[in-house]
Amino acid sequence: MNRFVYILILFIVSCSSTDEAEKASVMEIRELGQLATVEYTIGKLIQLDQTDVEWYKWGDRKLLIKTRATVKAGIDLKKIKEDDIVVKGNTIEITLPPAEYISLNMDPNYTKTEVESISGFRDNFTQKEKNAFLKQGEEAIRKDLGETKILQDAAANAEDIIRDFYKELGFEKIIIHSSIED
Amino acid sequence: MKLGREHIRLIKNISITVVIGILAFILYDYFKGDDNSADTIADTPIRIEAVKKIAEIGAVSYTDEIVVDTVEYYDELDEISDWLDAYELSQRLINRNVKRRLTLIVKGEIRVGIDIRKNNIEINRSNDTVYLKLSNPELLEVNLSPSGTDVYQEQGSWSDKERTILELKAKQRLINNSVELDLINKARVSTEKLFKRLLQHEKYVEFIYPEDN
Repeated sequence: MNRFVYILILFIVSCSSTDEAEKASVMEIRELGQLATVEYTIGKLIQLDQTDVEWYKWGDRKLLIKTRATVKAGIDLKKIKEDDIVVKGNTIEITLPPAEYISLNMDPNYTKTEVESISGFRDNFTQKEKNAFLKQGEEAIRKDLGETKILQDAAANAEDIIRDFYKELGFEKIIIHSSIED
Repeated sequence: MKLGREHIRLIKNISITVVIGILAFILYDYFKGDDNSADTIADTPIRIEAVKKIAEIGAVSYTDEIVVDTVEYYDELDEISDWLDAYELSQRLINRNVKRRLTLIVKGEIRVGIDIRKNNIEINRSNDTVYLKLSNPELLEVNLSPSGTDVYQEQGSWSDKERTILELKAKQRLINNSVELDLINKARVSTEKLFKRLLQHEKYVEFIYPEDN
């Protein structure tokens, strides 16, 4: 009797081999005003070595993931106030807001596990674990960005673009002030 | 002071309880698996691979959370390989015949605007009016990152490739949503506001788009 009930349950729940479902939830649309002026492509190796573990866990787990991030920086044009632009005849004087990070993208296509070594009785790395390590990698990239010249490049490029724009408008003298973030 | 038989028995009992406790902990820790998500990765330096000068006006951003889910069921009843395989039987019964399942919650951002370097804006002036010929806004980028991705549930073993396919599915879903939300027109309005801010000293500013010609 029990076996019959079990078979019946299996029969009911058996269906096609693969099924996929998707749904959207939270969403937000924002009006921006960002002028992105520089794009850095950054590579990072995510390295994990779990050899020093409890004595009763026999074996090692090693992981090496190569990842790539694209970071854009520029200025927020919405931060330009009315008195930041002064026009006197053919001369324009403009104070630009400080450069800031605009976006960071880590395309899944450029994330590749190069080495995944499991020995002994250890478990394979789960996707949950890998995602946690990737998050740490992203955090490290964000932290190390401060050591690059991305914001200086963004500010310099923004000056060039704004200068070209006003030159095209017919101004002969263009004075640009770049403010620096505290 | 001499220990009585009762004391010796008590010490023995406590010792056995401690040993059993330690063994139970080791067994528990051994079988509970190797989830070490909290472990810290090695401090490797970043490498700048390329630096590119760009000129993109991001006018509108759309952020959303997409849930992508893949389920794989055990095929047919007659494919039960071994009636004595406790794992397979438990999976079929407890997990409702689900063999593998991976559910991701992916938070992504789409930026829509104008690439002024690529399309080159055209500026003309006539009397007190500035004519600004702009190209139509376009999708500038779709941003996904691990910090915006959560593995909601993972049952069975999943390869990186399978996970990537799911993430790309979420990305495509974001793009499709952005089309439905008519972000291009919203970006137009936003871009015009920005240029008006830059041209606040001008009396009249008129915007011209390719299809207006």
